[in-house]
Formats: sequence, C-alpha cells, structure tokens
Amino acid sequence: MHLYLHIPYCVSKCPYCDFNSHAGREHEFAAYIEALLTEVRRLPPGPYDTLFIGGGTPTVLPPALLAQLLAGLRAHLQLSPGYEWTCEANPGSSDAERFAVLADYGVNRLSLGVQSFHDRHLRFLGRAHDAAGAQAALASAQRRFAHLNVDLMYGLPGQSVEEALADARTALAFGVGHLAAYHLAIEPGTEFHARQRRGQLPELDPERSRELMRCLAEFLTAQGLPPYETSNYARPGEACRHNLAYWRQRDWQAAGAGAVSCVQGQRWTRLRQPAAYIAAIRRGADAIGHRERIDARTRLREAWMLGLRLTEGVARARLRALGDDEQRWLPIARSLAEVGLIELDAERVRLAPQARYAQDEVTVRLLP
Amino acid sequence: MPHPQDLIRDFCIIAHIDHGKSTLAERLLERCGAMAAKEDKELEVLDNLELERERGITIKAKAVTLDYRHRDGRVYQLNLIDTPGHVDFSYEVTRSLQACEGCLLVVDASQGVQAQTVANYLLADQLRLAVVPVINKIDLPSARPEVAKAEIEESLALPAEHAILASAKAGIGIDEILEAVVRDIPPPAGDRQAPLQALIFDAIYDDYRGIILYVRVKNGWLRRGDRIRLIRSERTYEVTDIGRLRPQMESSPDGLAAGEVGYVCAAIKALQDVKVGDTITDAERPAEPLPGFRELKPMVYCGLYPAGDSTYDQLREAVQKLSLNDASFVWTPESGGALGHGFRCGFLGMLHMEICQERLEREHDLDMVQTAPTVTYRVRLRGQQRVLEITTPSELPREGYEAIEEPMVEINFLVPAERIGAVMQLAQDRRGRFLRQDWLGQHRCRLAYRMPLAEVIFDLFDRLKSLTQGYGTMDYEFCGYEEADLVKVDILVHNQPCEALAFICHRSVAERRGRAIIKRLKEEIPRHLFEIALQAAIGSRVIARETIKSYGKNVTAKCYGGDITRKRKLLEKQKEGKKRMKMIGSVEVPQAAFLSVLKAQIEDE
Ligand SMILES: Nc1nc2c(ncn2[C@@H]2O[C@H](COP(=O)(O)OP(=O)(O)O)[C@@H](O)[C@H]2O)c(=O)[nH]1
Ligand code: SF4
Repeated sequence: MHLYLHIPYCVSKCPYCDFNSHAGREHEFAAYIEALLTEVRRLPPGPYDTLFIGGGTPTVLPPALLAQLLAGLRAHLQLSPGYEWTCEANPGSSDAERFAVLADYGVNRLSLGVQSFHDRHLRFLGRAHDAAGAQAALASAQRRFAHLNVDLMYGLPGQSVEEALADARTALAFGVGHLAAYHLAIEPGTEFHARQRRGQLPELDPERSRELMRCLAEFLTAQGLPPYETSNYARPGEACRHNLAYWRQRDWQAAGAGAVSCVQGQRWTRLRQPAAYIAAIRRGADAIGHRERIDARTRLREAWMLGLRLTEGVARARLRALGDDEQRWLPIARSLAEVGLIELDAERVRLAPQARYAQDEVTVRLLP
Repeated sequence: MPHPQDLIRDFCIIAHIDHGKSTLAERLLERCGAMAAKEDKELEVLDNLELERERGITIKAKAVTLDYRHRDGRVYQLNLIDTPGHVDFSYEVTRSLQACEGCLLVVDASQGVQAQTVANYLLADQLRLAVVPVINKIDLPSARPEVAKAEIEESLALPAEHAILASAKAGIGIDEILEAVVRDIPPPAGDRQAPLQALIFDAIYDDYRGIILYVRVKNGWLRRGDRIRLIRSERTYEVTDIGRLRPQMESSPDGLAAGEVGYVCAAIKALQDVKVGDTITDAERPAEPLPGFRELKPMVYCGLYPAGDSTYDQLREAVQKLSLNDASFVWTPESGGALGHGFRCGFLGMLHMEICQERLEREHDLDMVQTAPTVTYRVRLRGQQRVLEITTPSELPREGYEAIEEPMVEINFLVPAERIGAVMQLAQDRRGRFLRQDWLGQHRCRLAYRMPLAEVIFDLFDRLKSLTQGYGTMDYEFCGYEEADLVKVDILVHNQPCEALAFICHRSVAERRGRAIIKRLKEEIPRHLFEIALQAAIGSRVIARETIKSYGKNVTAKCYGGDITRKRKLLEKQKEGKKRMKMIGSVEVPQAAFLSVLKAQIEDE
C-alpha cells in the first residue's frame, strides 16, 4: 500500500508555485497536525510499502510539532519491511535539527527543493534560500539519509546549458542518487502567469529549452543516473517507489488538505483550504471536496498518459487488458515510430528518448 | 371590370440608395388610402405581421395598385412598381422599368446626383420613359435644391427647373407628385383585343401560395382559368388566381387587361421554371415575346461552409430555401478539401452576395465560413472550339489551356473633385482602363473605366469609400469577356497544395498576394514536431515561401498523484482541439487559419 500526506504550508509563496501551499499561517499548524492525524487514524493501518510526506514544506513545522506528527503516524501505521519513507524539505534554518527528527522516526529518503545553485536564478524564482543555504542543507541531509533527491529547475530566463549542467554536477557531488529536473512551467493562477500575461516575464526560447532538456538527460545518463520518468533521474535502485506507484496506476491512500487519493476507482480530492479541511475533520466529516470515478476509459487514457512518461513505457498487454484495441492505435504508433517518436516492440510501447520534448503531442495522438 | 385604359398610369421610382424612395412610396400609398394614415399605421403593420405569422407567408410588395381620386373627379388607377435600388440588379431594374411608361427620379436635396441616380436614369432613358424629377428631403437644413437641380441638368441633361420640391418625411409635395404622374406620364398604349402579352417583371416563392408571378399586361386580357404559355420557359399552365396588389393580394374576377399590373398564380412548381423578363401569352392564341429578355447569369461565386455549431445539413436546407425565393441565387454542393463539405454559390454581384449571406445567417441562424469571392472565368481550350466556364481554380484543366478570359465591367465613379487623383490611382491599380471623364457641376466628376470584375469584387467599394471619406459612389455594368494574363496561384503547405486556398489572379499581383497569404498562414498554423514549409507557387515556380519552425517542447513537466486528473483533462482538451483541426497532408491547420487567410484574400494587403 501507498500513502501520501500533505503539509500545506511554506515560509513564503514562490511566484511560480501552483501547489496547495500557504504562507503565514503558523497559528494554524498545531490544529492542522491534529486534524491530519485524525484523518490518518481513519485509514487502514497498512502495512504501507511507501509513505510520502509532501508539501508545501513539511519542514516548516517546528521540530516538536514535526515529532508529534511522526510519532502519531508511527503509532497508527505499520510499515512493510524495506519500506520507503520520503519527506520533502526546502533549505531553511535549523534544518539539521529537523532532519534528525525525521531520521529518528524512520524517514529514510529526503527530497530537497534546491531548484538552483545560482543566486541569480534563485532570486528570479523568488526562493526563500540562496545557493549557500542550499549547499548547507544538502550537506546536513547527506549525513542523515541513505536516499536523497534534489529538485532542480531549468529553462530559466538567460540560463545557459553550462549553468544547468553545473547545478546537476553540484548535486551529484553530494552523492545524491536521485535527481528531479523540472522545466519551468507557467501555471494558471500563479504570479508568473499574471506577469506573463502583462508581458513582464522574459520570453523563454523554445529551442534553448529543448537543448537544455537533451543535454541534461545526456549528462545525467553519462553520470549513471538515466531518466526513468520525464523529469526524474536515478541511479539503479534509487528510483522513487512511491511516485512509480502513481505512474503504474496503483491505488494509493492520502490524507491532508488538498491531498488526492485513488482507491478502487474512486479518486477523491480533499478540501484545499487548510482551515476548511481542519473544520471538516473536526466535525467528523470526511473533508472530501471532489470525487471522481475513474471508469475504464479514463483508466485507459491515464495508462497511456502515465505510461508514456516512463522510460519503461507501457505494456501492450496492459493496454489490451484495459480494453484498448490495437487496431486503433497500432497504425498511429507505427507512423510515429517511423519518424522516431516512439519505440514499439512485441511487449511494450514507449516514448523514444530523443522525443521527450514532444511527449504531450505524441500522447494526444495515441490517446483513445 | 378592368379600369379604363386612359385612366391608368404605370410608373416606378428610381433613386440612389437612401435618397428616400421607400419613404416616398409609403407616403403615396397613404395618400391614396392604401395604407391607413400615420396614426393608424402601427396598427396596420401589426395586422400584417399577424397575418404573416398566421399563414406563415411573407408579403413582399413588388407592386401596388392605388386609386387616386383626381380633382377633376375621375379615379385613376396608379400602378407603382418597385425597383431594386442597386446595380447588382440592373437587369431587374430594367424589367421593372419596362413595365412602366414613366418614373419619378428622386434626388436627395443635400446629396445631389449620385452614381445610381445616373445609372438608373440611363436605363429609364434607354426605354424612353417619361421622367419626373423630384428633389426630396427639402426639409433638411443642409438641403440645396438649386444645386441638385443644376446637377440633374448637367449630368443627366434633363430639364429640372420644374422639378418638384418635396419632403417624403414631412409630407411636402405629395399632391404635386401625384398630379405630375397623371399629367406627365402617358397612359399605357396596349390593345385589349390583341393576343395576350404580359411581362413577368418579378416572381417570388410563397410558402402558402407557391410561386407568384408579378406581371404587367401589355396587350390583351388575362383571366382566371386561361391556359397560358411562358414563352421562354416553353411551359404551359392554367391560371388559378389573378388579381391586384393593394398591397395585399386581392383577386380580380375580371382578370387584368392591357395596362394593368398585378399577380398571377398558376400552380408553378419551382422558381427555376420562371424566368424574370419572360412573356406570358395565350396558349391557344400565342403572340410574339416582348423584347429585352436576357438569361440571368451569376457573376460572382463563393463557397459557403458550415462553421461553429452549424452542420452541413442545416446549411443545405437554408440554401435550398433561399433558392426557392431567389431565382438568381444558384448553388451546387462542393467539397472544399480542408473546409469539409459545403456549397459553391453564385450571385448577381457583391451586394447580392451580401444580402444572401445575411439572409442565410439571420433567417436560419447559421454560422458560415465564406471563401473569397471569385468571378466566372472562361477558359479557351487548346485546339478546341469549346470554351470552359469555371468558378474555382480547381476547375482549371490540368493539361493546360490556350487562354483565360475574365469578365469585364464598365464602371462609373462619381467622386468629389479633390479626390479625383486618388480614385484614378485606385482604378489604375485595379487594372482599370480609362474611358472618359465628365463634370457634374464644379465639385464633382464622373470617371468611367473598363475594369475586370474580379478587381471590383475585391474590396473596391470599401476602398473607394475610404478614399473619398464616404462621398464617392460607383456603379458598374457587365460588358463582356476579355483575355488577360491570369495565373493560378497554388498555396502549398508542407508540399501539399491546398485547393481551398488556391486563387486565380493577374500575374502582376500574384507575388504580392501569395506572400500576404503565406504570411497569414505562418501566423495561424501552430508549430509542429517538424519544420513546415509554406509556399505560394505558379505551376512549379515558387513565388513566395516561409517556414514554420518546429517547436521547442511540448511536455508536461510534473505529474504526480494530485496532478493526474488535471493533466489528463488538459490532454483530452488538446485531443478535442485536434478534431477541429483540418489536415493538409500531415499538417494540422486550425479552422481559424482558413478564415484569416480568406479574409486576407478579400482585404488584400
Ligand atoms: N429629412 C428627411 N429625411 C428623409 C426624407 N425622405 C426619407 N428620409 C430619410 O432618409 C432615409 C432613407 O430613406 P428611404 O426611404 O429608406 O430611402 P431608399 O433607400 O431610397 O428607399 C430614411 O432614414 C428616411 O427616414 C425627407 O424627405 N426628409
Ligand atoms: S517552496 Fe515549494 S511548495 Fe512552497 S511555495 Fe515554493 S514552490 Fe510552492
């Protein structure tokens, strides 16, 4: 089983961020943790193969509150042997202390939101930390966790290929076995989106983006971290099992404001506003804001969408099992394979590594 | 009993658009009691609407019979025949004029003589009609009746010192006008004992009664039950109903005798069976056809395609209905390749095209895409006598041809003196050949050119209006075909020719127009996975080219548990969008791109 837990708070809101994260709500933290644990206690006890505490920034919680949360989780949940327990963090103050708490309660994988090791780009991204802070946090995490991920961003205004590769190199120097490199995306509802509409965001050169993408993949593959998903790179055995569960369409449980669970064809989204979530849980309600039934066709579409994100691709047997007709998609796939956009063999379909830049386009063509 | 012939007057009103023809007609009706006086008018109109709704018919007054009690005590029958106001319909104007002995020439006192005043007057003059000049709108502060009079005399060589000063709006001069109709216009000269000759000057389709013919009896006497023959159509019918228009249809037990105007119903199936200008005669005692008949031929064509939520079937139904009502509107189904299925439609001219399009959109609530209008070209084939008439570039024979001929018009511009230079330049740019220039008073001038119709339909009217701050007017008349150095320009998208975008034009402008279209396409076609070449070409010679670069990336960076639904919906939306794309080879072209390019074709650079 898999479980996702959401901490919807950050020290400040980054201008590109469309996650469910809120700044300046420290007064709410204790009540939120109480609500979250209440919801957790309603969940099946496990055993859980993977646990993922995401945000927001889980490490904005003061060490004592963090400890209270982790203790509560351990009290209710069972973990499978060889479990993977990830927690997200952002470089901040007194990280060492928090990392110690996490490790003590059994968190064995830390995902650090570094984004860049260049102050210029960090400022553009409106991040709360600088390059030195990122290095310090990483050094401290390195001592506590066997498995480390660093989040990086590329496709930033004026970013050269050398700068992007230098970021990756710096992260690798700390011995991380996993890297996530995201192209900057301007999402609706963010400050960057508004700025872009006002013409106040520098234009990104699409050719450069494609170049960066290709170079990063080549560099990381050469370094022993080939991509296993669109934006995720890992040394052998270091891939994030929790995230793979999403992409391989497994069920997962969830708790927390805005968190999404998907169990037996029911995809539920909890109330996004922490205050509303807390109030609902207190009332004894389920705090579900939106319910979606994942029918056969939707499941099939998602199999294509998610499968093409993975380097392993999607098994033809799985597509058949989900009811797709090879007569429908094989001719499309063949013509895409001819121009080098996908790879097709007797077992699987996958996006060609050199076609990553065109992933959505290819997906749309193959989508039933 | 039919009205005594010497107490009948058949006349019409000719005027430039907006000079007050309809207002004056209404006023004449009112004065003769065919319409209730102003206070009750609203009621009357309402009644009419009720009637229309009740019976599902549309009453279009094409003519009206008025009883005018003269001060000499006698009652005159005045038949006022409507004429369309625009040059596109000059043939119909002629038909209406042919049914009259005289006309009122209405000139706006503040605008003076305009292009259609001249054009209409010349038609009336050719038919030797008695012309009664009326200066209208004298109530306007800006009225300059003396200037208008001078212009009538100078430009039309028509004595105007006794022109009637009137205001249709204020009801001034109406009695004088009626008086002049009786005094100055001669009574019809037909012979009631002679074999029947009746001119069909219009015909409409009516949902309730079927085809209705509007006729003027020239000679003889036409009654219900008569067996009649339509000479040109070579068809025979029996008259089922006949009567006068007051303006509602009013059956006449005695039929219509020479000089009288009215309607005829004869169980005619389709409007296409009726030719306006044809002559009705007695099937048993046939007479000669009346002169002046001409087969009506559409001059301007365009493609109409369903767009938005409208479907092909809805459009077909609308087009069918419209052609029931308008015999000069013709259509055939056509496949526009990237535009899907639609219709190739023919019109008498640009105004007719606009009117039809508006009716289709308004009366049937349709969304349509209209392709750039084209004219009918005549293609002379090599080593053959045969001439091929084509309305789209795709009909050009692949194996080549000897020459292409294009329709020409004689066009008259009436322009303010200070804009003569600009208009001459415009006419030259549009391949006009100067014919003559004459003055209408000191401030206005008439410029006559021989010009390809293709250049006229290409936005010329709007250009004239903008060059002359709205004061310039124009009219044109078809005057035959002429050979020209015309070429077909192909638009190739990624090496695939797109028929919907191909066009025929003069060699001298091919490159400029080709370039303009390619530029638009480049703006409208989204980037693809591959580089797209856009070309304009004459045969195998490329005259303009552009490339659309392949795009940098199209990839969703993040997709975790909480994102899956939203990201899936985005992809589903893209998939839907693709369905609305039209394919040219392997390139997806949004429908909007076609619209924009077609617009560029119409607007030029
Ligand atoms: N001031 C004034 N306006 C008039 C007169 N006659 C017509 N009009 C207006 O001129 C416009 C065009 O008239 P209309 O009869 O529709 O012109 P048509 O296009 O020739 O049929 C309308 O707004 C009328 O109200 C008139 O004698 N005086
Ligand atoms: S730290 Fe992460 S979650 Fe928080 S606002 Fe910035 S991007 Fe969003």
